[in-house]
Order: sequence, then C-alpha cells, then structure tokens
Amino acid sequence: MSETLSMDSVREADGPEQDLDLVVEQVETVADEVVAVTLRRADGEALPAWSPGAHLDVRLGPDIVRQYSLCGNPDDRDRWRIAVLREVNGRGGSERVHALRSGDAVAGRGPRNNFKLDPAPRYLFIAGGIGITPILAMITEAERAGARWQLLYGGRTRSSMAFREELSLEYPDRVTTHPEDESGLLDLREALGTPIVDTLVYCCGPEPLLAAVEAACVPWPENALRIERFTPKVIDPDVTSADTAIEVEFRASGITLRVAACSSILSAAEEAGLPVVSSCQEGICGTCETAVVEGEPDHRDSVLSPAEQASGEVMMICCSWAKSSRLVLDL
Amino acid sequence: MTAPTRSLPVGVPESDFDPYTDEALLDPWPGYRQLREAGPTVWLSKYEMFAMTRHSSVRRVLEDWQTFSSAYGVMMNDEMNKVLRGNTLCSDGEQHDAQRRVVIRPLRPLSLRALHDQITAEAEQLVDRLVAKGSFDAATELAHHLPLTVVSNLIGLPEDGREQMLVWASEMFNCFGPANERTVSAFPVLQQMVSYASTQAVRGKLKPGSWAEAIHDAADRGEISPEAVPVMMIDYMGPSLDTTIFAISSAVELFARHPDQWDLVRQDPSLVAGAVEEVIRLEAPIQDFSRYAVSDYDLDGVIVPAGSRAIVFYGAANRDEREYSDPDHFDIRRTARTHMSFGAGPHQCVGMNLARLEISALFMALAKRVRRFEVTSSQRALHNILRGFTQLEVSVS
Repeated sequence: MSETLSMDSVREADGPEQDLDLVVEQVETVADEVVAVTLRRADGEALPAWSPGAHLDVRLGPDIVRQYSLCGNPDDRDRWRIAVLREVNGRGGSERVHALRSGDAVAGRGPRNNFKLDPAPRYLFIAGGIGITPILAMITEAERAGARWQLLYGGRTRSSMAFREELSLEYPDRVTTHPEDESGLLDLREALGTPIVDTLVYCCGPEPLLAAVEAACVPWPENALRIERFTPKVIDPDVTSADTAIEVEFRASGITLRVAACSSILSAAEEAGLPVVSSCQEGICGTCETAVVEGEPDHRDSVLSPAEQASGEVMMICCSWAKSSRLVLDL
Repeated sequence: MTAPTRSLPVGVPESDFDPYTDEALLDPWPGYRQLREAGPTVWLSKYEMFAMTRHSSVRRVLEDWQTFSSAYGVMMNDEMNKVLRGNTLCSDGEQHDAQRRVVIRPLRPLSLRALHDQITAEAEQLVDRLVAKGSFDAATELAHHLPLTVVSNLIGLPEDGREQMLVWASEMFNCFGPANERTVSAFPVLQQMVSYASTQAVRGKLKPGSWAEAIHDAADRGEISPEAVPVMMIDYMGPSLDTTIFAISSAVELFARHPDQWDLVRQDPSLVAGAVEEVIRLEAPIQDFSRYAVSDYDLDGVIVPAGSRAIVFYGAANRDEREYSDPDHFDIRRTARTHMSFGAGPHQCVGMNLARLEISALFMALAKRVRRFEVTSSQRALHNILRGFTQLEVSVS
C-alpha cells in the first residue's frame, strides 16, 4: 500500500531554521532591475537543507529584514540563490540588495518554508513578475518527481521577466509566457475555468494577480490553491486591526471582559474563573473550541478548515482573535 | 536506516537496558528511573536508538516536529514505518495538518457535546448491570463496552470483521515495537487490518454519515489526497480501542489499591475529571512512540545526530521527579494536566477528549454505586507499547 502514496515524490524536509553568517559569492543581473545573488556560508560549511518554497530572512540593516525565496538548486548545499527586484517605491530593502558586491558579508536566518510543495500528480504554476522565484525551484522539483506541470508566467515586458528565456527554452511545451506589452494579462479564465481534481495550483506574484487567481479558484477543491504573498494581505480598514484590545462577552456566564492586545481570550476567561478547558494552547488540539454567537473571529488555528473558518461559527480561543471589536461567545 | 549514519558523538550516555523484555514491560518504572538519571537522552545500545525519558526531553522532542519528524514513521522498526506511511500519525507539515483537520472534526468538543448524553446513558446502564452481578471482569465487561459499541458505530465500519477489530488494534500497536518476537508475530495480523481498511472501509460498505465516510467525502472535496484514505482509516481503527480500554482497567486497579482515593471521588464526583488525568499520568496506556531526527539537535547538552531514531517514553516522562513531587504516588487531587500520555505538539492525541468523556462517564456511574473494588484475579497485558490489563476480575460492594 505504501507504494500508492506519493510521500517521497517531492522534497519536503527543510533543515532547522538557524542564524547564518553568509558571504556574497556573485551578483548577476538576470532581468531589468532584477539581480540574482549567490550566497555561501562565511565559515565554508554546508548550508541547511531546504525544499522548494522556502525563503531566507536577510538582514540588510539594523531594522531591515526582508524575506526572499530560495531559487537555486536544493541539491547544492554550498550555495543559495535569491533573485531580487529593485522596488522603486519599496522600503529600501531591495536597494540594499542591489548594492551588494561579491565578498560582502550578509546576516541571514533560514530556511523557513510557508509555501511547501505538496505531493500531487499535477501542478499548475502561476507566476507574476518576481514571483517566479519560489516557482523556479518548484518546477525543478516537480520535474524531478515526474509530475505533470504547466507554468503561466506573466510580466510587464520580456526583458523584465527573470529566467524567462531559460524556462522557455528548456520546457517549451510546459511554459507559457505573457509579456503584458505584447500579449496582455494572463488568461486566468482559460487556465482555471475548469477545476481539475488532481491538480494543485501554486501562485506567487503581485497582489492583483493573487486576488484574481483566488477569485478564479473559488470553484476549485478546498486547499487546491496555494499562494505566497510578498506583501501583507490588504486588511479591510473597517475592521479592527488584529492585535488591538477587544471586548468579549461570555454569554452563558453573563460576563463581559476587555481582552488586552497580545493576550488570549482563553487566558482572560481562565482568569475570570470561567469553565474553560484547553490543552496545547497553540491552535492544534482543538480542545478549546468555542461557539461564536456574534462578531467575526480572526482565525489563527490549524484545526478548522478554511470553510469552517469562513463560516465564523466556532473558534479556538487559545490563539484566535477577532476582526470585529466585539465577540459574543457561547461560554 | 534507523542506525545513525555517523558514529555516536562523544558525551552521549549509553545504556544496555532493554525496555522490551517481559520483566521491563511488566514493571518499567525502575528502568525508566535509571534512564532519566543517566541524562537528558540515553543511547540504547541494544536497539541503537535514543531514549527520551525526562519530561522536558519528551516535551521538546514532540514539540519540535521540524527536527523530530513523524514522516519517517513513529514506530521502532522500519517495516512498520513503511506500512503506515502517509497516515496522520506518520506525516508532518501541511499534509499532516490537512489530514488532521479531517480526522479531528467529529472529535472536537462541540461535536462531542452531542454525544455526551448518549455516552452517559450507556455508561449508567452498563454499570447498573455489572454492579447488580456483584463481580465482573473490569478489563473486558466494563472496559470494552463504550469503545467497542458506541465508538465503533460512530466510526461506521461494516459489521463484518468488526469483531476482529480488538485483536487487530492491539496487534497493530505490538508492531510499533522494535523488531522483536512480539512485533514479528503481530505482523500477519496487522496485514489483515490493512487489507480490511483498503477493501472494506470503502464507499457503500461504510455506514452513511459515519466518521470513516467523512474521510472519503474530504478526499472528494480535495481536502486530502485520495491515496491517503485507506491509511487514514487506521487513524480511527487503531487508537480508538485498546488505549481507552486499558486506561479503564488501570483506573479500576488503582482505585482498588487506593480506597482512600476512591472515597474522595465518591464524596465529590466533580473530582472524576482530575482523577482520570491522574490515572493516565501514572499508567500511560501508550508507553512510547518514536521520532526520526532529520538534523542534529542539542538536547540539554547531548547531541542527537541527524539520522537517529529517538524513542519518547511518555510513561517515563509522567513519573519524572523533575516534574512531579512524589511521582509514583497516586493522588487524584493533583491538578496539573502536564502529563504526556496524550503526547504534545502537532500530533497530540486527536481522540483525547472522547477518551476523557468515555472514561469519566463510567467512573461517574461507578461512583454512585460502588463503595469498594476488590481485585480477585488479574492478568497484565504483555505488550510492546500498551499498558493495562487483559483480565481484571473484581468484586464490588
């Protein structure tokens, strides 16, 4: 039976996340305003193992830490590669990367992977602009695992699209590129119009592309779409920001509490002597599940499915918070 | 594969203690104490695996799933680690989280609330019947009923072959051990269970609306991979029986030996919940599983090298002098729920709240009707992993 499971078919194990003293080996311009930077460990030792989708935190100044996807070859334990677009209206991180020269020391931390490539018989990769970086490593891995895959790759112009030429030459049947000035935007309706059950969709790119892909994937199976955002999701300004104090009414107990930012609803309830039970306190075990009577939870657990989270009917009070300023719980 | 690829680093305490002999299985406590004292982790030279026996070591290994992976299996032999590959117990990361979300759905507190009255009523009727007889086998007549009737029905496997389930589940856990005779002789039985899961736990044969059918539904919706469905059946079939059954038998035996503690429960049944935790702290139904280190790990000064297998002894952690005062003493008023019997971290027992519900319901019912338990004859299970009784004749007054 184990043969039918595809556990081993893609690389999944990342080495332990750790602080790393790195040295720039090479800086190479790979597209308009995009440089690929190769990094080695300062002490010459092997780098931790990583899997496609992993990223590296790069410390570029006292308060400037940026995340960049690893886009080299995971089998090369001597060097890591990142590719960085100079962002004209950015916050200064990309400028500093572009100023790096061979031999410069760089402090980093990694690898961390929030965008893992799960085993699947088929993949549809969608990349916009510099979002190609995590996808690049995924393609190598999908190819190695013998999966079927397609890449839709969009960008402003041909010359702005990093790795476009290599990809088109190496995989002419699998890669479709859309420079916007020549062939317009990616045709998502064509690509995503019909859900395909055994396909995972991995998408990385600018927010408008992600939003469009999310919308197009609504009829797809839950979890089929995997997204990595380079910029934080735009929060609706009408709702309370996640970590400010909230008011929680425990309706069954007839108690209303103000729960301070950076604390937990669970601990507030415990302190008030309410009959709550909990175990892991990090949204894994499900023990503190509580029904929501009113208000909108801000889910941070791993117990509820996206659909259950969206319904807003229950929440894990150990780790989740509220998007509304007030919650009413059946407790 | 389980042997480290490099030679053992210097400074690792070694022991030739064998936790899987008949003698050690029947009375593991002195051996556990010896291992705890030897260091934060100890190399078991006979099995070429690390043993974690201190509470802090067990907790750290279970919580650091990135270093101590479950995807290479959590058993102490490679054969079994292959068989269960890809079930929820033996996976990591996103795949694990997606499968766990499906398996835990009916076991979450708000789903269990709907079962509360049914389980309480069943427990009351059963205890009524047994107490009227004056004596009964607590390991079978008392302990089997809720897991074997109520829970098996909820899981919804076809009636055909369900009678085998108890043997299968027990032998499955025997296969978790190192490659000893107990493990090897259990393998053919395990194969029957795996084959049942692939041929009988299928659409059309499962009870409509059951937990097992919900796994198929989740695969249809794309929440989990269809290939994972048969092994995920074992997520329900394996752990729902013996674990709870053995905990119930251990509880009766402890209360028979400690009538003062039983008196406390009888006087104040609200102590039942805490008493259940104390029973499973002292007598963890699952004594040990293992993890595979994917990278070097510094455990309080001892390096566990990448490529080693580490056995986490829940039963030993639960009696660590560093964590509990007078750890061998049965005291139902200890309030700390820090025991490791349900594990910790991402793989913490999905069924723990159901188990608590079943065991509490029985002892609430017993507290109303039984003043004293007297054990007239007993047989402890000789099992690689599980701890409890196969027979526990008691007379009650």
